[in-house]
Amino acid sequence: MNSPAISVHHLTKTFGEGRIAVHAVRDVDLDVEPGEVVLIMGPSGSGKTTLLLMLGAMLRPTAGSIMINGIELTSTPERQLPALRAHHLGFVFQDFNLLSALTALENVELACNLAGTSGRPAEDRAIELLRHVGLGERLHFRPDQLSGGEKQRVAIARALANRPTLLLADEPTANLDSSHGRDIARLLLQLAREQRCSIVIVSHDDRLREIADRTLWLADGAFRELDTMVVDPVCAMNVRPGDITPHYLYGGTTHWFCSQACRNDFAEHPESYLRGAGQAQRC
Amino acid sequence: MNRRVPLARRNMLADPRRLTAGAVTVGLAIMLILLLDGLWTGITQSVTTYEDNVGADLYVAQPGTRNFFGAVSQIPRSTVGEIRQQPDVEWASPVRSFLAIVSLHDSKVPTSVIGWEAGQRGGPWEIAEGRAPEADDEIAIGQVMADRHELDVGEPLDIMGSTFRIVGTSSDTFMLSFVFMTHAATDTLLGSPDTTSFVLVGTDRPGAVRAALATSGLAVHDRDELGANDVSVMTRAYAVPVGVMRGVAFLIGITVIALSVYTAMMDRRREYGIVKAMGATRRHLLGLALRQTLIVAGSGFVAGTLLFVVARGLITSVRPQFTVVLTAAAVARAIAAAVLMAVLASLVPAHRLARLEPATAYRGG
Repeated sequence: MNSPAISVHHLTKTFGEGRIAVHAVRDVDLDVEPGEVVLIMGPSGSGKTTLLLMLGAMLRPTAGSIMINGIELTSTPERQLPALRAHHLGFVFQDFNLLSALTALENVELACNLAGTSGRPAEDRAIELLRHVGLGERLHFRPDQLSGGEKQRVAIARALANRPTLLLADEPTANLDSSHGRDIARLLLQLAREQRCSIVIVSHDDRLREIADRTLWLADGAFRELDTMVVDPVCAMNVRPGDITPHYLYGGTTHWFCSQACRNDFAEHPESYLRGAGQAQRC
Repeated sequence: MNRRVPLARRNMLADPRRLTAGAVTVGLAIMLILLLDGLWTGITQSVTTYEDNVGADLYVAQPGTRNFFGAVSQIPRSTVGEIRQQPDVEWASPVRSFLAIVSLHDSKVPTSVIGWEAGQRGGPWEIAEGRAPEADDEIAIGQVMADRHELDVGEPLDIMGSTFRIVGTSSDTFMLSFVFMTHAATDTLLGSPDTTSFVLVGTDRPGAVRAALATSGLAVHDRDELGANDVSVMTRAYAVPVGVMRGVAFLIGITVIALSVYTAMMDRRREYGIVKAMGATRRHLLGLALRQTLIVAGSGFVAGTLLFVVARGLITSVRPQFTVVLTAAAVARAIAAAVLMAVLASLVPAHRLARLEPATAYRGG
């Protein structure tokens, strides 16, 4: 068996101290195999982004260890972290986060430059990737000339420009409609398989489960068993039933919701939600 | 060197209005620096116009005299004959020099009056129109003064209460106009016959002549010494205000470049966070900041040079007595100033970039 692409042990992040301490991530363990796609879901404020920032070498953990390609991140000096990010990690952001003054080609080429490749080889690599994500005809378009789906494709090409060991994606489908979201999800899976690049996706989007090899549920900074989750019939989010979780008894069944707002919507027109019609992706 | 994505240039060109505004403002600062430098050079060059053209190797004057313009020197006229007796002296000419204010069309015009012996050295070296004065009631004036005050050959001009007739114009360019007249005319004007201000000396052995004349107790200077002293006297009074103006222009340039780049960076703060998240090092970001300030400074230099050409044209047409000289050294100094502005202006944006957290690229949560 291969050694994991990334191995996380007892990872903890606490903001503040004493009575005002906030435990954003608590004692998390995670191994991601090469080429594996891991989806981390969880409600807002559950610690997903904090975990992603630590995996991306952008935030120092309070305790624990992160090993990428045999490199222990937590003990790596600060000045070496940019090179580590440039060579081993790729990032896909929720808002695409392309550099607005650069063309699609230059956005991807810049990632090559930062990883140490410049000139013709960088340009060739960028063209190859953009063609691969279906943007061969949009090389010289700036972000404001591209659609949301096209921007996210450029962002994915950019994230893969340095042939990363691990690609970290933060809500990659959040700003896309359902059709483009599915396309992006499939593209991520295809690229992960082709390039044997591991992918950790942080998202609320349940559709991404279809491409994930594993789905983990993060709540209150720790992973929970996903099989205890139920789906909010209004927004389709995974919800962990509990004493304080909003719920509503209808037709002899208890329905669980991510928020009081979803519960209220459901209470007004329960049949429409149970039929599957009118589902809103608002959460 | 392999091509890299020109992020700094792209970012600055992405907002052409901001870049143009920055370039024009920095251009004004550069123009001011070039203009002050050019005026300064023009003044220092024109101060020594007389010494540069009259062809004397030595200047003999009253003891303690250090400069030509504005100097109060009075020596006996007989000194000329004594100097001519010295071995190695090829020629010696008496010259009277003093400053006079002339009233023209209700304005006061400062002039430098030169009295010399007709047929000897020390008079106008180039006549633009008419001829050199011969009689004691004749004068030749600088062409710039004649043009500016619409004085023509043949017209009368009052100087220190006496009326003279303009018989010619000299083609020299000097911030104070020269007025050439006979030495005898200056004797009368100043009421000091049998005296002179300077004796100009021509010799192939200035060192030997100087040594010989030193025993007389008179002040003896060569052309370079006298020119340097004239420049010193004329520029000393302006050195501080001109220096302050240069400094202010420099500070304005730094401030504008820093503000242009800083605001451009703050507008794209998140994008720089992305670049940092993607692996940009501190050095890379410092280089990015410096390249952006250099772009503004470079554009400012081009704008400043164009503005300088326009301003110089205006100045020389409105005030032709001021010569604005653009030298290679002045251009080099302006380039150095622009580069220094860029480097200093990059410090604050670079500091902010270096402190930027890569996590800025992510949403909060």
